[in-house]
Amino acid sequence: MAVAQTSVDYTGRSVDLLIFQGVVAVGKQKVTTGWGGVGELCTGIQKVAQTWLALFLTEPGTVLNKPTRGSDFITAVRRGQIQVESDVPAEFALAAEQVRRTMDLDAATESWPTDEQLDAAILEDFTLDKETSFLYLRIRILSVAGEARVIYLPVPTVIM
Amino acid sequence: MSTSDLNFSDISADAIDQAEQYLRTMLSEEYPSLDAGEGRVIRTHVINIAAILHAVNRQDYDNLRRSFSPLEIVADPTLADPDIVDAVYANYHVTRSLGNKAAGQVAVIISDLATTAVPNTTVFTANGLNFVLTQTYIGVTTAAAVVSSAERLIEERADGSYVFTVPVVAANVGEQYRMQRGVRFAASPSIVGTVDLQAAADFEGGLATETNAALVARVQQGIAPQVFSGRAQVAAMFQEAVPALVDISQVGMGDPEMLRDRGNIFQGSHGGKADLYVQTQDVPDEIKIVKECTYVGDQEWQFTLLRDDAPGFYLVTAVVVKDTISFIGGLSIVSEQRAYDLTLETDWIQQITSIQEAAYTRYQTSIVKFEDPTTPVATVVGDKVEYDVYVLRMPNIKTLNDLTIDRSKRPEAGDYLVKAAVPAFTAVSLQIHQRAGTAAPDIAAVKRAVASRVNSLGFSIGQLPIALIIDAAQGALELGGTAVITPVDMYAFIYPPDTVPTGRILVHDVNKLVIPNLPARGVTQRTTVFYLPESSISVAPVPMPSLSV
Repeated sequence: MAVAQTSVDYTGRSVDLLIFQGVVAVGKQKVTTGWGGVGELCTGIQKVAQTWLALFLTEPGTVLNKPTRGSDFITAVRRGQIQVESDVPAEFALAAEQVRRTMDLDAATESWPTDEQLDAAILEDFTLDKETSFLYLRIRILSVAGEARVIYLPVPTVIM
Repeated sequence: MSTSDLNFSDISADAIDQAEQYLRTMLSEEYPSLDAGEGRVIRTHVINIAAILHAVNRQDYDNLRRSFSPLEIVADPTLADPDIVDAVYANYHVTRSLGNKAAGQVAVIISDLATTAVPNTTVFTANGLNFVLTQTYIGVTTAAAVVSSAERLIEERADGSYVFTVPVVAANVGEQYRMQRGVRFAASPSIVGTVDLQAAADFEGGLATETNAALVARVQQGIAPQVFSGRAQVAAMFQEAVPALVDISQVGMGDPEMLRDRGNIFQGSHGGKADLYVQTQDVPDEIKIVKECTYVGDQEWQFTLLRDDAPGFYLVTAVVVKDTISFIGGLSIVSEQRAYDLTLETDWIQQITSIQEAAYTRYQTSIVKFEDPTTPVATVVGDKVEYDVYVLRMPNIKTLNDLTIDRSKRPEAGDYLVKAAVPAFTAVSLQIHQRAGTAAPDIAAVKRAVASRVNSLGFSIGQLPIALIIDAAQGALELGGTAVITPVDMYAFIYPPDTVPTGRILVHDVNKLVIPNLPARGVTQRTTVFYLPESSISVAPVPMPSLSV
């Protein structure tokens, strides 16, 4: 996956741990998940992007004491429910809605600035590669403040 | 608590939520710029996990703190680790009974007179319970071949088969391993040439490790000085002497059951005497005694059961030709006359003036006459032959009575007499309705549960309601299966001290067995205990048709 576009100024901002390592301010870069060697921080739209992705890739019921957090997207992938192109927008929409509701509820109990609140996640494009059994998603994350980031997400899938 | 046995499912969601808020607040105060809001990485991947571990630690700490409090242990005996409970109650002179394993002899019945090996790896199973050998045994055909305890002499049986016995020990501690004579076993691997495997006699020993709840129940006894004084003190002394003691009932001045203190012209209670009825294990056991019997003519023989043969015994259950192993029934007992023997053992003995007062005490004796139709014609009156006599008794009656006559322990102004509880030998029949398609019920487990419930009643309620039976049986059945238990039939034979061994009282009811209130005969709730061995429980699975829904 990759996160494009630029970062923001940290002055006076609250920060979160950065779990997507290798993010660059400009251009495309392969991003991996991890804590980083020294522990890296992020703020602004980056928080929104990683929160959204973490929820999108988490299956409900897999987090102890938080059984409702997550989305059914990976579950659908594992079960082979994505076989043809027309399956992708449907499953994405369902999962994105689950994530949006969760993040809206979270935001309602916190006093986050608008650039750290999710407005929408839009599936801009996707490719279902049947030869490599990979699904490539291009997702645009929009904050309430109007900022946007694009995430490229490759998902290994099962295509029969 | 030596080690935590908590897992995540033991921790409530509320406890985790509280820990999560606590950690979030603490981190936010220390690091104001940290965004620990719901959904953030630091929250999801660090605080949430730490909160769970924190909650587990809190619960562990809380359990540990409560485990050291007798008040908390009493409120919830399942709370604490046994090691901690042991340490806490050691301060009150209460020590947990660790239990022991039942042991006995299994009769190996074989078809031919042939040397038969029983490897030490053989596992014997009865009622779903395993028994093991402590060494390899070999059944041998001649007495000359018996050179150690490993060789067991094979003997011929009346039906033409052959038998030898091997000692076995229960795989675990517990009363459920105390098998009764005649209980059938299976062996794995099988023993070559075996026709049948049976308990040759009642097994002895077999005591479960005391639970926290049982230990807690004994605290008062631990605190009480172990002397002949009040009821709690006497109970404490007896429990110390016989850890397996199930229950004790102390009848004294003013109680209608107390007859020994009315031996005066006015027949009024003058006090100074107490009868201590005890249940020293769950059910009586049967022991074998070899008795020299005297021929009295007409194929009849006679022997005297002395007071030390089986102190406080209940009944003579069988007389058989010596060394007969594995039998059903026995020789016909023609008559039995109870008596008593008050020979001094110390400087003093209790005052006993009738057979009724001596019944089920260690002073009781009996003259038994039986018929042996195989008596040789040449036998003349006065000839003596040894027979095996099987006697049903409650163990340790003499052990406890010895405390009452020991000059250093007995009260200066009191006459305490130990008696085995008046027996109400009980039998229960019940049906388990099994729905088609469900797993077969574990009959042995049902019997065990019902017997355990009934035999633990002691002198507590004086009745046996059907609800106790059903509840115990239902608890041994798997949930979701079919377990409607009905109808239940129950009866009990009570042997009053004034007419033992004849003149028994039959109590029969389908709803509730009640011990009759007959204090003049020594039968009341204070004196009588229901005994229900597993062999007296009949469980019949009955198919229950059901419609698919």
